Amino acid sequence: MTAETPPAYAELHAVSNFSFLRGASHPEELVQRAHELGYAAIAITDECSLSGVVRAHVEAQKHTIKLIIGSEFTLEDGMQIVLLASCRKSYGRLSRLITCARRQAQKGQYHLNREDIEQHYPAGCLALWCVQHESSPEQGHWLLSTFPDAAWIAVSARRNGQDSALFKRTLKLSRECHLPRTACGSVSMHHPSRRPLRDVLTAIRLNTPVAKLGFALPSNAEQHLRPRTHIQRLYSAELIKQSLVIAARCDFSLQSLRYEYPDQSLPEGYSMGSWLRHLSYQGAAQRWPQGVSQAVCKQIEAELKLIAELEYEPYFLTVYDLVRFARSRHILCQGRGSAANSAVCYCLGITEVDPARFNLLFERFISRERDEPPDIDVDFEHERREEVIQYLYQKYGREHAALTATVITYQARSAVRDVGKALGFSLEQVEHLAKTLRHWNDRSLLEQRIEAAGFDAANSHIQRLLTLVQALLKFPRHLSQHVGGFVISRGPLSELVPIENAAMPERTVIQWEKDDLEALGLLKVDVLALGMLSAIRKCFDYIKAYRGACLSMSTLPAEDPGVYEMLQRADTIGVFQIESRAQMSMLPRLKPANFYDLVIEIAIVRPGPIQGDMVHPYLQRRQDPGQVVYPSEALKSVLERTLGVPIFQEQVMQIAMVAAGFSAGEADQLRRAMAAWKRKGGLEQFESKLINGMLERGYERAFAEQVFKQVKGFGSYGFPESHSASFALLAYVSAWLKRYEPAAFCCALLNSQPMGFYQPAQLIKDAEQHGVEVRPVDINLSHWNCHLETSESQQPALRLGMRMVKHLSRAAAQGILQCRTGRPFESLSALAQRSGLSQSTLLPLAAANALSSISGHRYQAYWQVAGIETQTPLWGMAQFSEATPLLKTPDDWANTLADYASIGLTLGKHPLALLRPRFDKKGICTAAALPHYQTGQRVRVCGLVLNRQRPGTASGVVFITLEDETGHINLVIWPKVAEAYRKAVLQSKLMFVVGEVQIESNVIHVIVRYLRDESGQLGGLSTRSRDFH
Amino acid sequence: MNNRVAKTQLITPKHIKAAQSQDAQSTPMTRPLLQPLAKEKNLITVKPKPKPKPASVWLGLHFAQIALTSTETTRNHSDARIDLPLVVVEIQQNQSRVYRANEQAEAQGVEQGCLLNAAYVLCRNLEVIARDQAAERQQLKQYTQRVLRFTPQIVISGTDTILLEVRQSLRLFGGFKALLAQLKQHFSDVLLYIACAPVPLVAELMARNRIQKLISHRAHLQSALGVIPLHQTTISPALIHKLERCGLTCLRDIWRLPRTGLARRFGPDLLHYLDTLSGSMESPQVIFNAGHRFSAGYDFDQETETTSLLLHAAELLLQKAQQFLQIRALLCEKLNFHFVYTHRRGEIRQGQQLSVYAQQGGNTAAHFLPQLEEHLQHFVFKKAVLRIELHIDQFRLQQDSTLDLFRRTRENTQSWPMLLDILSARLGRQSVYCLLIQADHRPEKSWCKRSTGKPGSAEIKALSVYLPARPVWLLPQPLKKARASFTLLSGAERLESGWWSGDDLRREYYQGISLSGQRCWLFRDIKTRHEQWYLHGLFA
Repeated sequence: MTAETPPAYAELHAVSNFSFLRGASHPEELVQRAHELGYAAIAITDECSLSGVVRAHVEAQKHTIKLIIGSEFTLEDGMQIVLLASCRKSYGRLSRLITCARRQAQKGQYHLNREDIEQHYPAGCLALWCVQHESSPEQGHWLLSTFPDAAWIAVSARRNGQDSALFKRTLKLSRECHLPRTACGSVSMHHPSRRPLRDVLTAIRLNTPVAKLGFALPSNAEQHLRPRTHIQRLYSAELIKQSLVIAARCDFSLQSLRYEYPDQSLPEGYSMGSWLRHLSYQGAAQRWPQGVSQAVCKQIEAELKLIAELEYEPYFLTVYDLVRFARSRHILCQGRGSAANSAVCYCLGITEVDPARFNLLFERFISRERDEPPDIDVDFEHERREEVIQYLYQKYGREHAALTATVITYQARSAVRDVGKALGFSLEQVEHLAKTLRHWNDRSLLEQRIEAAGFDAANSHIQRLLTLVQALLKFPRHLSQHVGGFVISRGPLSELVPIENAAMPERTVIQWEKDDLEALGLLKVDVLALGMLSAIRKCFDYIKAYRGACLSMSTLPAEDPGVYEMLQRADTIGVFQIESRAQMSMLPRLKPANFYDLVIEIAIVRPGPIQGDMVHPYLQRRQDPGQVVYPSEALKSVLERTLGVPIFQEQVMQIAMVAAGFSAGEADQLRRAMAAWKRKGGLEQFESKLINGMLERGYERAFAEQVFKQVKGFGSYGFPESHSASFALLAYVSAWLKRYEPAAFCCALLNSQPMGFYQPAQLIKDAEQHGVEVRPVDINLSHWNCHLETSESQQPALRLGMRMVKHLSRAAAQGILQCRTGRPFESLSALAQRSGLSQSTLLPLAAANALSSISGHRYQAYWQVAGIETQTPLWGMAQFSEATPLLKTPDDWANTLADYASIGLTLGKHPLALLRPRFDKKGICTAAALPHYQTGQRVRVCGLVLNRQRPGTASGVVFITLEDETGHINLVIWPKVAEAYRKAVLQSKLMFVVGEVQIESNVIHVIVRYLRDESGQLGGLSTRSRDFH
Repeated sequence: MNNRVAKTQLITPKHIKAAQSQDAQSTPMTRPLLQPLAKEKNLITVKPKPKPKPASVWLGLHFAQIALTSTETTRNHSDARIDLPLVVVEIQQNQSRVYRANEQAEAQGVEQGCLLNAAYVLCRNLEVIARDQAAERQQLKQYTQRVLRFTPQIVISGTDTILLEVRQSLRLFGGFKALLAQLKQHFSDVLLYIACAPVPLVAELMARNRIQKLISHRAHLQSALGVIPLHQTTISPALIHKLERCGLTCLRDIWRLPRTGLARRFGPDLLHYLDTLSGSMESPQVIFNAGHRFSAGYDFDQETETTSLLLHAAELLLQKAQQFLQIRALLCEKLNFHFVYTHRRGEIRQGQQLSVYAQQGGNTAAHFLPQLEEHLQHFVFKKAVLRIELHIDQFRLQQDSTLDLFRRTRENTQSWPMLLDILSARLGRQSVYCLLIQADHRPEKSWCKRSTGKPGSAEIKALSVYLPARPVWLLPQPLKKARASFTLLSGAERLESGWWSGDDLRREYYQGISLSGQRCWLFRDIKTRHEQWYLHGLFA
């Protein structure tokens, strides 16, 4: 007996996991499975969404299976239909319909009725009617009249005991409404083994444990992609044939989406290309007033040629337009990325990094071989980025500009939480498990952790949970907005991709994320926010106001030795990018002496170079240049600037090109694979190519393998030189300001909070140590922001602003400032009367001791404010004569506690200074005394815990920074010690430590042997540490 | 205002002086309770002239571990070890915080109020139980029953503290010291803090703060309480925060400030609280209601085993019970009859017990008598009965005490529970139940038994869902069948469900005709390779 070939079949109704908490398979899995089963085509028809179609499209291209784009809708009256795009035009209409349905509902929901469909008529779309028991012929008549010759009844066999009734019903409706019928699977998973996951998703969606779902769960796993032999048994030949007829009528591929750049208004007589050339040379003339060098001209020409060849002029002009707008509004901005750090971008003012000083790869972002657009990130001042975004909306309109989405996916914690709840674990158990399973890598490791947490890992409930959590990881949960990726189009954007509402009012996001756009070659401009830019701009403003000096990033003196001297001492609190503890301990070793050293400093203290074992070889070679050897002359040109050690992503790409014969495009693919290999894998194909290429060119296998190891080590953490260069410029500028204008710099940082690594308390302490006089908040002298006041020393004094006062609103402070204009308040009652502010508004000021100039110490101020009566229109402020209360005078400790509670810092005595007499008796030394110790010497220290860190690269070592009244103490706690004193390590606010001093290149660490929690001595002092971020 | 002053004058220094004069060793104003209390009688035996209202003596009993002990019944004893660290948690501002920790947990650094996550960090094998206030109240009620023997004047405060007014009990129990000793002996199995003061609020405050002291006189309250930090009082945290901003940290700091200024700034509630603490203002207390209990007995002239005599006596008792219940508009669900053989003095009391139930609750003799008769027919008496007693201690309120307009309907509905009760009496309570449909795809789980007394509303909802054809008769266990023993009619309905409970079911159901012509419900087990056929039900 010969096996009969099953008939061809096209699945026309399948939802992926982008129908959130419904579909139990990734779009890629559906496409791949359909291909394995030999389907003629598969339609991805997520509910009112096209979010998953790009992934499906990429997968379909790999397997050469036909992909149909569609979407499923449930109308207001309960009618369920699937619309399939048959051509580009109908795709646009479908996308617009989804946009309409999504825009008129809250985030994550949609709303659609027949009128909407008639109004936004999706011409060319094919409609399938998913008939239910309660469907009426009237619905069929409407469908046929709306989609003449393009409507079918979808017949779906569910094998739930009701098929025969439903088939009969569809036949009756088909005859009555003159609608043809087609077979269709109503698929929600690619394989029946996803049934438990599908049930768990249902439980999460309905917020009910699986065991209590009852009939809310489907009775079987039939909604999967069935083998064609099963299909043959379930449907008649005619029904199956119809599916192919419909598939044949769908002739649209996402490949055919032709992106058109937005128009830019051009002066008469200019084309896009000539206008970009004009602007570039105009900028070049300003950058190099003494004349543009031959080399620069050559680079500009080469770049313009590549840009013209790939028709990217509108993109560069768009970014230029944004930057021009920001400049016109006095908003500081800077571009990043090697496309941004090109000669053209430097000339256009997009970046301040002179490309002549760097060997940046323009090919990294613009590749001839891959028709992909460049990706320029532009950072703007974080407080004013919204202005730029609104400008974008205003210029291009919401029809043409929207934010990119970010797909929020299930991570270990959220998955454990949701699956745990679905399986009926108690809330406490779920929380405990979620906390235990923070890092979800290896299942065997996981089981150990579960055991350690007191659960029985062999228990079948736990095993079930683990399996389901693993299946749920990386499943999309909902769409969120990207931090600043904008898509701009010439035609209506909603006909390219559906747009939906974001959580923030007045924000809209498209249904695709960054990778989707990249896969389809669509333009994206990143409008990002950076706190340091705000701080730098404010600092320039303060200096101008105080000294009259007009500074800017481009006019700041370059390569100032004083700045590098400060950096070598690791005196970098507040400096951009190099203020973390890891950076601060690297600075005295690396001793940056010029701008390029700073570029390396920023790139080297990253997980990529650390995991790739590049840090120590580089430091050794810096100290002893004799150790520098190059495997070949060709590689010398690539690695010379980093002493033979690859530190930047560009260098890895160049090694691949120079030593293994990769083309620029292939090297770019390698970079993308590097960035994504931990997530998606896919580096293997490059391994043999890279190693064989190097062997062919005469390199040793050991070297080739080492290079590949480094490539892997970079993973997604490798830092491109171009980014590092842009950051280094900001680091240099901020370091210069800290070195020469510490008061203005500290003031700007305080006024740009929250940002950076340190709390205001540490920034102020640091400023004081640099000779800045810091003055307290005062009702008659402070503004909302901190500001500079004249002082007798060379540096101005820093007056703390009312913004530092907790619970004081900006509006209330503005009210006080308005009433104060020209006439200080002489008493508290005058303040209350003139400002008309209520007691609750003034209390925070009393708590912050800001009223001391008009009402005595803080207890008295608080008592007085608490006695203020609300003003009445008729009687005004009520007056009372009261006996003087017997209130204590706050002592130093009480003042310190109150200062920390209300402004988060104290200008009085440091809490540790108050405890010092006790500490002295116990032989506890200060941070300032540590340099007098020698390596290996035993020491006792005590301090407030500033931050705790346990980097993934440090194999369990905990780093803690303590603060006392003289400075910071860096602790290193080995895993065994950390384990022995676990509670104190995790909970101490005030920590007592016995350890050994270790001094290396002027970096002092205390290696902890014993530690103890002494928080009790603080008596409720309100401090905050920055832990394990 | 004048009244309040008058009350505060009830106990004067003169009284104390009088008391002290009676005793050479003067009574200290405050002293630890654990020290010998030789002169506590002096506290209440002061007899000033004119005779004032004697001062109250309030004991505060704080059960510090009640949250832990009350949950013990809910812990799964099979895998819970008592030496394991345990915490009871409650949700505060969306965060789980430790409400109480046992000794083992405290030894590892877990403190009251810390976040649950922090507790997990400190204690790896921590057992966690959610706070159950209902269980705490229940436990406290049980403790209250225990102290009823000391005084009827009992006030329940929160879920962990009881206040007792014991002035009138002192003589009965042989003085303060003896009473205290008995009280402690009564609660020797419980961690208990006891404080004594003339003001209930103060006794409570001290007990809660584990200050085991005796304050004998109202005039001494202020100075005794002055050192108590504000955060240990029941003043609201928000108000304490405000007070601390003015440098006021303990009660003494507040007492020395002007009253008007305090009132204007912090509101009259603070003053009211302070006045209550100092005893210058009374705080009304809600006295605990010890609850209802019915007991009655009937003595036979001579020993008897005759059912009719017993029934006659029982009827008399039931009539008394009926009166008791109807006056109070109560229903009872369970009656306890005691048949006593010997009850003379000096002899050990012997007897047998018989419980009679009413599923829906009953309050008439007519409801219980037929049941009792059913029971007595099977009841085997070990000896002849000398006395019969009826005790009822479980009651609930009668909801529908008004008569229906259509009396006939009501009679009908009333006869149904009675019939059930009689059936239960005859066949045994376990034998009478009702069947309900459950929302579950698995045939074995799609129905359940419910006791006739309990409504199953949640399950009944399942009826509204459209279901495919199911047989009338489902076999208790599917029977293995050979494929040749039946002919298939229709199918297949595929059922795949239940993976979450460990018994994942995967079957294909068919309707078929057996060789004997019966319409059967059959399935093929597709989970195993053999694909065995089973008979699971019969349609007709």
